[in-house]
Amino acid sequence: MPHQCTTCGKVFPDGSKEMLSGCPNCGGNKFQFKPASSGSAPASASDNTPSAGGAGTRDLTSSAADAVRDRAQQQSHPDSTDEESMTVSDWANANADAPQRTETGDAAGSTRSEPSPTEATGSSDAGDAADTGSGPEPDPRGWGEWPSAPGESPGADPQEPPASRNEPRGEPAAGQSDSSPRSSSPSNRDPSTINARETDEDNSQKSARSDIVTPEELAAADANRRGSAAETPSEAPSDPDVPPAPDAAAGQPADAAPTDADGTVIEPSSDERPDLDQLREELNDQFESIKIVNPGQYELNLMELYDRSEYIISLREDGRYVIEVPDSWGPGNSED
Amino acid sequence: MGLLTDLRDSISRVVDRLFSESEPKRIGIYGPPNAGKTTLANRIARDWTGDAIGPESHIPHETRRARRKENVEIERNGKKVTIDIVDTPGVTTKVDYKEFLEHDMEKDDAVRRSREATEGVAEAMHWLREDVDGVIYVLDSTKDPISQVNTMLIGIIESQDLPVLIFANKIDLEEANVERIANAYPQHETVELSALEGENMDEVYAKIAEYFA
Repeated sequence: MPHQCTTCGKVFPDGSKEMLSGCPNCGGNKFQFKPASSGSAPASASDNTPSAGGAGTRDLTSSAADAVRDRAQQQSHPDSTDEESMTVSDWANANADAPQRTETGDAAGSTRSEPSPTEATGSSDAGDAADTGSGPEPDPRGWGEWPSAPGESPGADPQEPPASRNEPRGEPAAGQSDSSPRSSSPSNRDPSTINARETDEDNSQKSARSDIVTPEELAAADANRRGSAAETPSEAPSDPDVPPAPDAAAGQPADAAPTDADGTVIEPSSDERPDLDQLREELNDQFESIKIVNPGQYELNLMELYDRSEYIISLREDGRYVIEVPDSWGPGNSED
Repeated sequence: MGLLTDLRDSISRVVDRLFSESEPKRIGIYGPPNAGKTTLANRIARDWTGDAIGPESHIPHETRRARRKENVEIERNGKKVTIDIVDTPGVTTKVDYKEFLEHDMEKDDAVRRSREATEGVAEAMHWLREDVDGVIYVLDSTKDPISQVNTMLIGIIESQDLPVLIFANKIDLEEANVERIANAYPQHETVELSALEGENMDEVYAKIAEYFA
């Protein structure tokens, strides 16, 4: 339940575009953001829940959370072999990999020292820019090294679900339908490539799964939400995007307490403040025209900025932001 | 016949004036940070209206809101154009407050400047989408003109079918290389100038009058 109008309190589901034209209730344009995956379990739990028959709100939450996770996984591929030079396109990966790391000065420094996108001129003509305009990364390098990426919209890849592709361990965790893509895809690939990917994927996959609730919590949330035996976790693997969770969840303490299966938690609790990096990642994933790398450090997707009539302005590091909509901003307001 | 010709000329003058006065072309001055956009905007505005548009600085992202000067009448070689000049924040794909620390800025100020600059880029892109009829693209001719930002922006401008002039600025500097810019964007006319020193402004105004009339 990540977005809330700070004026009237109306809540918007993750990924909602509704508030991009202002709050329909009160017309306010200030919102606060609470990430789905860090603050509360329901979003994670809903990952493992087939969306058929679910409430609309929850489906949106689920798909957005999937998108975030898938994107983090995708982005963990391209530059993952050189862990030392943390690049911008690794940014999401870094967040998934080690959320605490990016807040340090080191991370900021290494971000700065990477090759600037402006130097990658060979492949970055306007045509490329237009092609990738809808993609999350303005950096052509990130796409270049992962050829299938441009065609993949995050979270929507029916042929190669990242979860199944990247899952090196063959957990028998009730993965009936999931097993076929996993077993078939490596045969199409260069073994060395797949090995490298799988090695990296272990880390990002693990950390991605650290957000996933334990089976007990999942069952509780599921029962609470659905009240139906048909929605039990045993069906989860039928969703190709879902990594089989049990072993990872067992190895990771659930640091995000699933206090409310409804997902109606709104106020950020001071005790369990959402991790800022995760928050930024999710925020940026939804509004990817401006990305907060660190306070005072931004990446801008020019095509996104150009394509949108609205944009986020006044991004705050605590997750608050103001969306400027065309009605509230225009040439007339600029200084003469 | 002479009377008719005079009449026709006079009518067309009136029509021209009506058109230009009712709808001054809005010309956006675009380019990467520190290319000299505000210096150029100030030069043009001072030359034709006596007023400046905004403060200039060697620190990047001095212009963080688009600034407009309306009804600037430029006349050269018998051609006259009335334009609104929009001086836009420098467009970039990355803003980092650390860049400003090198200019003896406190961290808090640098972070704020960085945020404002980011918002400024968004605003500049918004103007490009909605509100300009033509573009003056300013490049620092001491720097490599081929960059992601430049190719992307010029691509957008071309896709909009906006008339664009490329200005190779800072030719007063020794390292200036106008040819490099002309070669990078051969599909567009490149005009060299030094907005700071006022070099070659005659040609600048002639081109503006010709292109945006």
